[in-house]
Amino acid sequence: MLEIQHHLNPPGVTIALKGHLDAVTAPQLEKLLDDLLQTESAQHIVIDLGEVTFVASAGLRVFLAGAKKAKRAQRGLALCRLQPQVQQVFELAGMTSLFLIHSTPDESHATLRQRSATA
Amino acid sequence: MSHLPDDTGRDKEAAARVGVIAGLVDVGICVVSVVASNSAVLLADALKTFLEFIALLLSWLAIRRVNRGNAHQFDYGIGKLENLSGLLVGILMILCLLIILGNAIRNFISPAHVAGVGLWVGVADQIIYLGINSFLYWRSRRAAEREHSPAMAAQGRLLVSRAAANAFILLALILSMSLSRYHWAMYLDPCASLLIGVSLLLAAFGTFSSSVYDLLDRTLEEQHQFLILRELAGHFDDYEALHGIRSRRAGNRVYVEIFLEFDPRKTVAEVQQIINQIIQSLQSKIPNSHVSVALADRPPA
Repeated sequence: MLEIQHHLNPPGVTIALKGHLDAVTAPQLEKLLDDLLQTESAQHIVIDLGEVTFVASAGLRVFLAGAKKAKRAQRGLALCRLQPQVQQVFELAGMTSLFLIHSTPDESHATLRQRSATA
Repeated sequence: MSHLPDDTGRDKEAAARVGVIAGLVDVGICVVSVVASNSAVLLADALKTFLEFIALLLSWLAIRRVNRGNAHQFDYGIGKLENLSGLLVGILMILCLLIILGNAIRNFISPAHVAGVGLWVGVADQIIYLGINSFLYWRSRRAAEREHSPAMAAQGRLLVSRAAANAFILLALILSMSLSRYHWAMYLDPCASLLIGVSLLLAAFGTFSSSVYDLLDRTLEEQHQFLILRELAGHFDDYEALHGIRSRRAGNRVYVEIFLEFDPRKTVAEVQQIINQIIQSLQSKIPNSHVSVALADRPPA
């Protein structure tokens, strides 16, 4: 079970996830990411994983594909509030270097804004 | 064109053949001891031995078919044949379980001390096959480790459980004979047969679940999925988009398909080099795997 909430605050959007990200729930996140990447007002996407307790390979696959899509669309994508076990899963898959990872959503948004301004 | 098996193929076939011959002899001895003793535990053992013989026979036939040729008719290997064999053995296990259960109930209703020359035949049989099964298990385990073959691994599991069953039945028979002066000892024989039935039930469940999942093209385990993702993360800047990953098992083979989109400005040689690196790396990390990378501009249907 995965609860997804997103708060649009142009030019950024925060996606807050709660629960398990597995083969059953991953497509929900994938669809939302695809939709937001089509939205002009979502230039920076921050995914808050603070309430996510489990990430399966299907979930990681969505993040990997999402990172590629964001790069192609020239959007900023960052993750925040990873719980230790979730951080470990990202490390296991060698994916921590692909994302900006912060301890709060505000920190992620600030970093993405700064990078966007200097680009 | 004839197909000549290599040394490993011949070793596997020889190990399987020895197992079949030993199993057939054991079935014959078990039948004799059951008929001459009327023991429930020996009947359960005879049925279990028969099932193990069928499993060994099917493994041997599958390996033999590959070694004798016709492999060209099965481009994706004979993995599904192994899965179907497992399913057949699972069904036979359930039938044997019902026979053991029915016989045990009959013995509980009308208990009797087990007796006769068949008991001594049974004791001798268990001692001899305890030694043989232990030796064959050691051989099968070595072959399975070399080949990553589910057929050989299944054979190894059968043999080790068989050796443990030999020790258990031997103990049950000795207790039944030595405690025959006590009334309650009449129940030892059907109780022991029920325990064999329980072990059969567990084995049937394991056989069914693994065979059915593989027949349904179950995806790879998480540990291997992580290896694939790690590889793709390592090549993150080499491709434009990840459109999907599909995997399935067929017997001892693993098939992985990765759908990637590349920058159209890259030359075919550059793309081919990246694909080759991904394939070689994954195939070296996932045993018995066949990895293919397909060019795609959208997710697979």
